[in-house]
Amino acid sequence: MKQKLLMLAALSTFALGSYAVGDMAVLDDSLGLSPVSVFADPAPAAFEYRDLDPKVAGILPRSWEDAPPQIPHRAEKYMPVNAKMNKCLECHEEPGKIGKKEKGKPTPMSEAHYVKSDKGELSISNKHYVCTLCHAPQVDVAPIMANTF
Amino acid sequence: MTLSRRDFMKTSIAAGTAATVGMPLSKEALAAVKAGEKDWQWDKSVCRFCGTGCGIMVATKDGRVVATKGDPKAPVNRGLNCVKGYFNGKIMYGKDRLTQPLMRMTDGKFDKKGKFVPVSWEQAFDEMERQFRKTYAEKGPTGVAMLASAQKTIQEGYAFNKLFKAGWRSNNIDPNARNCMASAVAAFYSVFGTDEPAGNYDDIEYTDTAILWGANMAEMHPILWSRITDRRLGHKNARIINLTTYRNMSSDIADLEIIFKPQTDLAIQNYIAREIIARNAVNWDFVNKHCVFTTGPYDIGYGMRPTDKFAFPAEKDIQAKELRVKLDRDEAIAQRRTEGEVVEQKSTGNPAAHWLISFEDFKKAVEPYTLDFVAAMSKGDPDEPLDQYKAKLKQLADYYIDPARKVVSFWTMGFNQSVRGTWVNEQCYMNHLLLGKQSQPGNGAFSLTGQPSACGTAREVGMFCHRLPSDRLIPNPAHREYTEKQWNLPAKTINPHIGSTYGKILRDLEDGGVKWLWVAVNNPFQSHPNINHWLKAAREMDNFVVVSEAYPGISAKVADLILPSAMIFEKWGSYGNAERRTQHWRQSVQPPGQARGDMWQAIEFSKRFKVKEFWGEQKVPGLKVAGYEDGKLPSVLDEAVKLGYSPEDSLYKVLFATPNNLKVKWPDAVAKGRDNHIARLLGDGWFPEKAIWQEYTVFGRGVGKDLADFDVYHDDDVRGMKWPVVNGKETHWRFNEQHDPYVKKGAGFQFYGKLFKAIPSGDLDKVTDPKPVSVADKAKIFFRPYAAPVEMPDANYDLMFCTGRVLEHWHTGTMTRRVPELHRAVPAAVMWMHPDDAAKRGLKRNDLAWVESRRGKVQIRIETGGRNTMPRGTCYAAFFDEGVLINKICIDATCPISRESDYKKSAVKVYKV
Repeated sequence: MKQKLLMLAALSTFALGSYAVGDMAVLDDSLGLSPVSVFADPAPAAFEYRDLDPKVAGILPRSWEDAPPQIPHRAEKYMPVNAKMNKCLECHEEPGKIGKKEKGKPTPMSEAHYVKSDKGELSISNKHYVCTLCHAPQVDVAPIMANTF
Repeated sequence: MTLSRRDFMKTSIAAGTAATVGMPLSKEALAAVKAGEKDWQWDKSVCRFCGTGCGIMVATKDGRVVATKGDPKAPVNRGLNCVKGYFNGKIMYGKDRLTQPLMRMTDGKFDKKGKFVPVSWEQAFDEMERQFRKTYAEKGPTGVAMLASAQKTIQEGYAFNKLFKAGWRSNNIDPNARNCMASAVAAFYSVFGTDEPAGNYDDIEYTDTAILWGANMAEMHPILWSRITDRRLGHKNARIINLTTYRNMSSDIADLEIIFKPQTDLAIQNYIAREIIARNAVNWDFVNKHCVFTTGPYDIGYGMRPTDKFAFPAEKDIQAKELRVKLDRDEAIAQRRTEGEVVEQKSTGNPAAHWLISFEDFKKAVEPYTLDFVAAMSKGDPDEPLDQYKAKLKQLADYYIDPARKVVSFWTMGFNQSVRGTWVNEQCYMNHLLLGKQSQPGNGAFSLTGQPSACGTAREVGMFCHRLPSDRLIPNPAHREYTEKQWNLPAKTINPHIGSTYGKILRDLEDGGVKWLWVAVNNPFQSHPNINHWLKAAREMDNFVVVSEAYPGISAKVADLILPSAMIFEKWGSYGNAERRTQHWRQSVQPPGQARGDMWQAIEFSKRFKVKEFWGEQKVPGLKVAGYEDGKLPSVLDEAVKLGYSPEDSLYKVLFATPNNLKVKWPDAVAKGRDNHIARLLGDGWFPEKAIWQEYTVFGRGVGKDLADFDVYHDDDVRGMKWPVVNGKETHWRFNEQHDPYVKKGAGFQFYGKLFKAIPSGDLDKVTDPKPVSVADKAKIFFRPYAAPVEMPDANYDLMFCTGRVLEHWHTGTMTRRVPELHRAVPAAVMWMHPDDAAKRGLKRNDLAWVESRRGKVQIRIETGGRNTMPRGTCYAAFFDEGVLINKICIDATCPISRESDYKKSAVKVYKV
């Protein structure tokens, strides 16, 4: 499946390269993220979210330094985050380790996620409580279209 | 440490005590400038995506966006973004960005069956002009149309609106907001006489009770959801109620989840009204002073074509319901009729008519909506015990009625995208008004918007086929006259005949009524329901389709001409969000290649036309208005000459580069060194975005829609302002004396909207006295009955299908699917269904299946887990994926009042490939 997507991406990049630089005509079927006729009903590929154990998942590269990190490990078993339970916090809420990522250990939440109580104790800000608003589990698929950001 | 912290969280949140208060650390952190960012320039801007309107900061270096972040000074989001909001900067850098016009050609000439060939702007506009003239000569103003967008900037919307209505004398311009907010607008008009919400997002922090009606805010308005979560976790009395047709992410934080059957929200609302009366909880002081009771006809159809001439064979049985409907048992009870009665749909021509009724009639009308009746017909999960569901409905009524509770009801597409969308909006106000819980901090019915400038661009500018700026309407002669004066047009230039709505423009394309179509900043050939019709119409009929786009999406693929557009941070602009907050931004970077802003496209194209081509007599089939010859717009050329125009003047000169506008000079100090590619390309030394802003804002002054001056919004310390902005001050709650300068002193509340405030009187069935009675300064409490969805599951199409969005992708995915992080988060649309429903069809998770309706079929993967849990009988798939064109299966029935499509209720079958 990964290969198929890569191939599609390559095909569309080729087609688009041609209209951008030359005078070659392009068929509409070769445009877009699904380079087939709009009247076709293609079969979408199946996909699975990463099922890696957090201990071995490592981290995913970030687009820029402060880009929100995406979830490199399996996530379904930690979901949902609800009012009674937030399993993400069990590992990532580490007010003592802000900014101190250690290899093989959970990435501590950044300081932006905490509030300080009157006693000086740090805890997660309720606004940041639903982790999946900003951090999404990822599937190992090639980009459907290259991005030059 | 970690463990004890978690235990603390668990107990504190479960007990509902204040888990966290205190100073966010982030403020200190954000103040520090990182070493690597020293040569970055930061501009304040606005998120490109949903109607929340989050402030973002955009960093540029060497002419490229290098980062974005949530704007800590923005009151909407206070530094936070959702996952797609964080990637605003990346959406402009997809490798297949359109950078030059592409036209279908064969042997160097335009050919509808040809391949796309790169052409210059000159060549593109030449053909576009030639095709325009051909259609205009043949069909007049009704033959041309624009499918516009609530993602256009306010100035773009204003420019296109003026080009169509003043220049071309065509009202065929309608935005995709028609499919998003039209039902909300129709109800704002009918209930309050003026558009847009009374409250603002601070209601979240003021209220105790957030009630979600078919609004999955956790995915669709994530930042508002973070504020609601904050309120819930931090305040022990706060409660969240999620009314929905399936379990979704918003249920995870909710205290009460009510799964109801699609469209029975109409019945649940009436049950609450009945309870309010039965428990003697009507706030009579408020109702007597500020409200009247009203109702309207029930036999209004479903906004489908009145003929089956264009229907696919399988569509004909449902289409026939446009003419007559056989009432089912629930409808019969709800409408005080007999089961099986066949009702001719006689009010399709005037579905919005309404009249005064007495409170006794109103009480009689809600009487059938007992707990027993409503619970039995509305329970949406067949596996939930009825008694448990009944208890939940009663609890819901308790929350609304409890005098100690403040209540905010939130909704978006669950209400709006319904064949009875206007009714259910009106019902929500009904209950808030009965209780007097409206237009106060923490109390009110709050219509959220889906798109970034549904309010600012589509609604406030009046970029609809029936509207003019600032709550003015095409059919109102005084409103046309006012607009003509402001635009310095001869009297009777503006066409008094309402144009085609968004969906009707596509139907016009199919039946040959429209032959020249311009699409900009939206993707109708993926996003409008029942697209098999429209794809065919675009590709196989004799017409010319222009699509202004940043990427080659589905609409670009079916276009005859593709124009490459600049994206958000490549142009100056402004958006208006769901809390009436208007926010502006500067151009931060240049558009790539030959891509240019949509406003440049509108204004530059106008240079090619002269007033004499349009301001002479024009035919308008169907025009029948007092003071006009039937079917004709008069020539206004003599008047034009008296105003000082020459028939040879270009539309550019008359509409855009007017003497006043030319006085607004570019360059301007407000730019702080930033460029403006549109001002530069147009030449003539004027600043179009600022000039048009100033021209536009005159419309709102003194009528409750006041906006501030252009430069105010660009002040470093301003993060948008909520209109009306009066004497430099924004308005937080409308219609409330303590907050709204438009309310008379001593009135307490005043629902001062001016539209539809003189209405006849009658009983529950009909008008009995046609003499209009003034209901000035009052809000209307409507009785609206339950009506069944137009298409229900049957033996063949046995599942109810709903479509919508996912958190990680925006609309049709043309931008977000080109961001690798977002693509990896949700690579393709999937069909959520109950595991038993899947098993019954021999399907399991990840299997490939066909989903088929009367209108078409597509292949899709099955999902039985994940973020949504479907009750048996219901399924859901999002519409972002152009590889799974889900709108091939959706019905294009609409609310007959608002003409908004019902995306939430299509009967389908699902089977293994």
